[in-house]
Amino acid sequence: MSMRTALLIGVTVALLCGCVRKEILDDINIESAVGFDEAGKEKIRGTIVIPVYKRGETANKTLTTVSSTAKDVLEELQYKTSEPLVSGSIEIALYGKQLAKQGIFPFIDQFRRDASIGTRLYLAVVDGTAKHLLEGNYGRQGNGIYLSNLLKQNIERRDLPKTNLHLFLKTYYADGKDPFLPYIRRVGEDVQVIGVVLFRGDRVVDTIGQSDMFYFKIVADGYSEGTHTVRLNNKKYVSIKNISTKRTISFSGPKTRPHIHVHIALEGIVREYKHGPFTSAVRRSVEKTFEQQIRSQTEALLRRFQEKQIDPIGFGDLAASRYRQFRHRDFYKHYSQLPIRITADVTIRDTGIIE
Amino acid sequence: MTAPPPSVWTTLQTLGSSTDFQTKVYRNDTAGLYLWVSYVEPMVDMEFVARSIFPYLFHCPFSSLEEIHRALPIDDAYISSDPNNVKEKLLEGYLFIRLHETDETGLLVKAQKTLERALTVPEVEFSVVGPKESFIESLETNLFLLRKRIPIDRLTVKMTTVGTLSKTKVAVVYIDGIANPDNVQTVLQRIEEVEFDEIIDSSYIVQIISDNRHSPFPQLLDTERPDRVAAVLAEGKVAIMVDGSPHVLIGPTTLVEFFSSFEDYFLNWTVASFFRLIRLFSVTFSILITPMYVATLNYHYELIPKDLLGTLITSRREIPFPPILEVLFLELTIELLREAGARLPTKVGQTIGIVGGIVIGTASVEAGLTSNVLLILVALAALASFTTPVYKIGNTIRLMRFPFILFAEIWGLLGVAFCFCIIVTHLLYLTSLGRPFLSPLYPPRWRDLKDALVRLPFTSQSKRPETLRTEQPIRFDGKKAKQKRDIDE
Repeated sequence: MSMRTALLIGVTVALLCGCVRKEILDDINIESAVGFDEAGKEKIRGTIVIPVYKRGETANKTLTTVSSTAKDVLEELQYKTSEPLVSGSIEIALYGKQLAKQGIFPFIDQFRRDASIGTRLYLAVVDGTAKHLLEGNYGRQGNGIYLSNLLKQNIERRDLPKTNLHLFLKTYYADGKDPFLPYIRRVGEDVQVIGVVLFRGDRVVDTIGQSDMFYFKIVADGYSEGTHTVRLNNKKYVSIKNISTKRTISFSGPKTRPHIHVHIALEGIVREYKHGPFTSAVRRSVEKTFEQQIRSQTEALLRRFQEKQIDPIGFGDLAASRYRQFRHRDFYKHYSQLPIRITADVTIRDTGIIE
Repeated sequence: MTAPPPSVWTTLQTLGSSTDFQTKVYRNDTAGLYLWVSYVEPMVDMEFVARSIFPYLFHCPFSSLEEIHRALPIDDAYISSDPNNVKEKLLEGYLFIRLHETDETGLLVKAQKTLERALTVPEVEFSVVGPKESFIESLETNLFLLRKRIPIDRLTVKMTTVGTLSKTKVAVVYIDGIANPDNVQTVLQRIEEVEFDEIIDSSYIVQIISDNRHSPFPQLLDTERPDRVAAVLAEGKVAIMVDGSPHVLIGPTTLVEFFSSFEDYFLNWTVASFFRLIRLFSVTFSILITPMYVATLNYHYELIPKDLLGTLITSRREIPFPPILEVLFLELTIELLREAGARLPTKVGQTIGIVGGIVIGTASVEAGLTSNVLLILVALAALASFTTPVYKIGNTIRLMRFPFILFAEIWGLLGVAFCFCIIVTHLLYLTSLGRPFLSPLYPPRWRDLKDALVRLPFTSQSKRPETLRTEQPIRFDGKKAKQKRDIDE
């Protein structure tokens, strides 16, 4: 290395060393959750949670303010903190139901542009206000981590369909699919997942309750690990744990008015059946009843989507991948009248270890 | 006016100014002659002289030096009148015998004193399995240890002398017909061209003949194990042995060779490969962990996993210093401890360990000077840097950390990446005896990877390293070696 090169590197290093702003870990306030609510006319209430770390557990500090635009809400909170607020570690962003009905995209845009925020950020809509929910104290690791773990657990192991910032933006911009988000509510000192909210664009238009989430997840994700209780005709109940689901959607007929066929193949094991031995006759009847239930429930769900003119399953995108020169506009013109046929095939694999 | 040409007489006069130079006169009664015997006293084994030389000198009838030469039962004796030769030999421990005080011709008889320590267990490159002998300071003994392991005529030793004052004997050893003549020539030429007065140790040689003398990376491997030298000579490398040094230099070497312990060859290849990977991992860890700490805490809080955030913040909250000072404080403490431990005698060294480990470590955390997370990281990094089997590269690794820390402070992870690029560029540029230092990683020598990051079984080692360009690339018949020739199969 010649003297000149060494000098050049030295000068560059010296001149550029002020170019990155330092954010020393213990000298910043790290937001872990944010919430947005409607606050009267043209006003927005923003709430943030800052974890206050103590040895062994984490307390929550909640700050809230009212402003007129989305970006200002979080900026104005800087006036209330002694150390700079940084948003790189946000785990979850919440939106009040009222705000969500008017459109949440202006409040998502900033997350999309901030390079320090990961695209696996969770978004959720709150029954009530986000402020009320964030002011509670949940778990030992702070509200942000508690809420994101709550959603993560329900997505990976239960019936909540997979959502995050990336998927929301993808479906928001996609022509053939509409976004959906988890729907949560504060119940005393706990938070509960109560369903899924469905969007048209960035506005909430419909909600799916807990009981339908299982069917929705099967069709939307093609996958579910939850446990589902099947009620047999003779008022007996059997609880079935879902171990494998395969969902196939096929199209036939003209591309503007295709026939949609949804086939669901499900394998499960019996978790609970307290009405005597689980014979093959019982097994057959459970399989049949479950198939019947899947068919009717899913059909009702899909019909509802057709009536509301929303497509959270993404039939439009799926059809676009099957047909040449597919036009989404033509497809959605007839969307509400498209015939959808649903078939189900349930197999009980295992009935338990001890007979 | 020109100085008179040096004569034996003036040479002896010059030597005589030193009081340990002796000239004694003895009388041989049988022949009725006087003998002038000169020698440098500390270099001569007087017991040997009294036992094996004097009886012949005093009791044999002779009249000339030739007759004495014939009578003496000593091989290394000859008649010389060259003043320079006489001087050199006298200083090596020869007796110089003349019949008259003013004679210009005399008989040189070897009566050298040899004092050397016994062979010991290798201390720097100790291994649990395998041979336990190591080189010592005597070149003859070292060559003996080597020849014993390679008893073939093609093992060639080329001797030269370097150092204007020290006259150190340097032996270049290689196997003729295997080692690339270019490599041998390079080594010989560079040793011939050494310009230095006092060569004390082989580490002087390595610093003088290295391809890049300013690089912190050693470009010749030094080892104290005769078995290791024998093994690499068989691979086609060249060894440089220096008289007075228990460390033998091996070249051309590569960076990965510095991370291979010779014990790797004594263990099963799966275990050996695992250990080698562990070592490479620990070196990476050792260099990068504290710079990463500085970078993430200064600039990239969002990269810290959410569950770790609390741990880091609680341990950092009481610390009044920015991460860079905290890290430098602890790193320098560790370096101080290492340096103090290396200088002090063993018994006191243990005390230093206790003082350093327990008192400074825990006390600085309790006093709120450093965070305990960092203490663990720095201690682990120091431990990891000692896993390198070759001592010299361990020092390099400890030094490497500091530019990384500074760049991490200035530019965060970008700085770490930048510093990494500089070092990789340097390594790419580096050569060992003209052969690429980063081989077989770059330039890629796929076949050589059999003994680089992992060590494959001996049956797969049938070819010599490609990067050495050996004269005879095949070591043994690989196909034959893979056959199982048990009768019951």
